[in-house]
Formats: sequence, C-alpha cells, structure tokens
Amino acid sequence: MATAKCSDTAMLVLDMQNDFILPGGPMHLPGSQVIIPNVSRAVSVARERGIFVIWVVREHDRWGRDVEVFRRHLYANGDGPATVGSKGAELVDGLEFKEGDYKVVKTRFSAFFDTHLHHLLQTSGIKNLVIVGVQTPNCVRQTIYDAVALNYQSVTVIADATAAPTPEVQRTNIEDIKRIGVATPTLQEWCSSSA
Amino acid sequence: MAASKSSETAMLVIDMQNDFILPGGPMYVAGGQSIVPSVIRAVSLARDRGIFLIWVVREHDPWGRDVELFRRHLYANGVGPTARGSKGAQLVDGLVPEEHDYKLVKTRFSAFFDTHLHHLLQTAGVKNLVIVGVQTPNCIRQTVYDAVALNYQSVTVITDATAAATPEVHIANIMDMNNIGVKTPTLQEWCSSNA
Repeated sequence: MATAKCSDTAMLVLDMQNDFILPGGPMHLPGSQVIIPNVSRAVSVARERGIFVIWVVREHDRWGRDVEVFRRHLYANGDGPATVGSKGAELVDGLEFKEGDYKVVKTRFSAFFDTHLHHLLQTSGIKNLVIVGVQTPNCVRQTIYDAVALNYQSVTVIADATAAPTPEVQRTNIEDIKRIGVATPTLQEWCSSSA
Repeated sequence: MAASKSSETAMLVIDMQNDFILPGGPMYVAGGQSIVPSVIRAVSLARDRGIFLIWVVREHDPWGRDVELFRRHLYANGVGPTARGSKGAQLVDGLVPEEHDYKLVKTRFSAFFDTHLHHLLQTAGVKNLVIVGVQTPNCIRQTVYDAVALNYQSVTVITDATAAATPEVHIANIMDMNNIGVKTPTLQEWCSSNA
C-alpha cells in the first residue's frame, strides 16, 4: 500500500537556505531561486504520503573552524555564510519546517558526513531516499553517492527540484548520477508515481 | 622545502585493475588503457620524491555480498568483477608495487569509505594527496571530495593520469573538482612542480 511503502521513505531537503539561494553573498547559487516552488511542492506531496521530511542545513561556526579548508577565508571576520543563528542560515521564504519534520545540521557537502543521519534513518526503518535542494555537483551529489555506498535500496533525485551553477553542470551531474542506479525523475513524474 | 613537503604527501593510485582497464568485462572504463603509461610515470616520480605510495583496489566477495546494490546482479554466479584472488582484481601489466608501498582494499567508490585510510594517513603525517587512476566520476571524485571534507590541506588530481568512459565526462568532473579548490595539473605540470 502506498502508506506502508512511504513509511520506508525519507525526503532530504538539502541546503535551501538564504545564503545559498538569495543573491548577494559569496555562496549564492545563481538561478536557484526558480526551484523553490518545486521544492515546496515536493515537500508538500511528501507530507501527504507520510514520507519522513528531513531538512538538512549547513550551520557553521562564525570563525569558520568547522568549514572546509578551501572556504575558510570567507570567515576571516567572524561572519561568514550559513553561520549558526544568522539570517543567512535560515530556510528561504516559501519553505517551512513543520511539526514532525526533522532537522539535521551538517558541516560538509554530504548529509551523511560526520552526522547521525544514517543511524537516524536506519532506526526509523528508512530504506528509500528522495533528494531535493542545492547544489547538484556538491551537496546533492555527495549525499546521493554516500546513500548508494550505504546500501539504501532506492535513491531518487527529483531533477528539477535541484539546481547547479549552469545548465551544463546540472546535465552532466544528473547523467553521472543516473549511471550509478539512481532514479532522476522530474517533479511531475515523481508526483505521478507512487514512490 | 620540496623534501619535507613530500614526506607529508601520499599518492593514491586508484583501481588500476584488469577488470576496469582491459576491454571485455562489464566494468571496463574506455579511457583507462591510455593512461597506463602516465600512471607508471607518476608513480615513478612519486617514488623518486619520497612520496608515500598507496595502491587502492577493489576486492570483492565472489557472491557480491560487499558490493553496491545496483551492481550485485553481476555476482549472481559466484564470479564477478574484481573478486578477491581473481585475475581481474590484479593490477594491470606495467604497475608493480614495491616493498614500501601500501595496499588498501576498498569496497565502495571512495578510498575513505569504510576503510582505515584516513587513520593511516594521519598517523603517517600526510597532509597532501595526489590522485591518479580510474574512474573520474566515481572512485576518483568520491575520494577527492572525501579528502576535501576531511581537511587535507592540498588535494591534487593529475588530469591525464585519470580517466572516464568519455573525455566529456572526464572534463566535466575535473571542472567540478576544480571548483572546490582541488588542483588539476597535467602530468607534465605536476612533474615540473615541487608538489
């Protein structure tokens, strides 16, 4: 039954935060604002189906002590992207955490890297993952590859609810991802399926 | 000084095994054979410089019990790619480990995933990594991204000593890695540098 199957499934919404989506900052992903309605719809459908919704966000030390080495220079003044408690770290307008959702804070690209996400999912009986958010070559891809490495039975990325710096980067990454057994439907296709 | 830096550097030679490099099998990487001479040269130079040489290989259970789900069908008959002890798992002709090299067995794309590689490198005082081998979108990229996540100070991929199924896939992946602070010299450029 659809309900039972969906209780095996979690949706990971990756990095849909002001500092990545809105123009102006060093981590802004151009063109990513367009996916907000698709992400919002995906989350809405997930909730209807009883899918476990997990908001994965970056929250960093203001001095960048927990940031990748190649980005630490952005935190030299004690104020950088997605700092804990900052407006930049908040979810963009249009996306809202609701009771029953879960928040996972990460400090690297992959949602699994140095987080308790895998244990959380295992204990919840999750076998299938659906991924949306930004950005395709980094956080989305790394999370997907780790999910495959960790033997999740099915991993799906809703292609038009993710974004990359350019359409070309988006295309090549989705193609690579498809080659390792990951489903890459559009939002329309995913909504029409029972997955 | 170049010498002290080399003692803090390791070269990871990834998956240069018969089943990936020689035509005929299901895991064949089309671009692999042409990089064998470059890998041989990179390894030789690494040894001259006193760089710690680590041969990273896949070795799997013949029944595929330690293989990614999307590839398990290849092991249905108790004989599959890079099965432990098989000819397919051996390094291709031309690549010969020497006494002080290290061999690391992995079962997933990333050389860091579920292996002791990180502890090995940390204990050896390694801060810099140089990566060669196959294939760019999977094992190379995953190892590189994990190395960045693990705060290795410099991560280098030698672009013409790595390969993918097509040049287009290879170049797209090199560009994505370049965007996260990874150095991507040619073999010639790397040979001429002190790194």
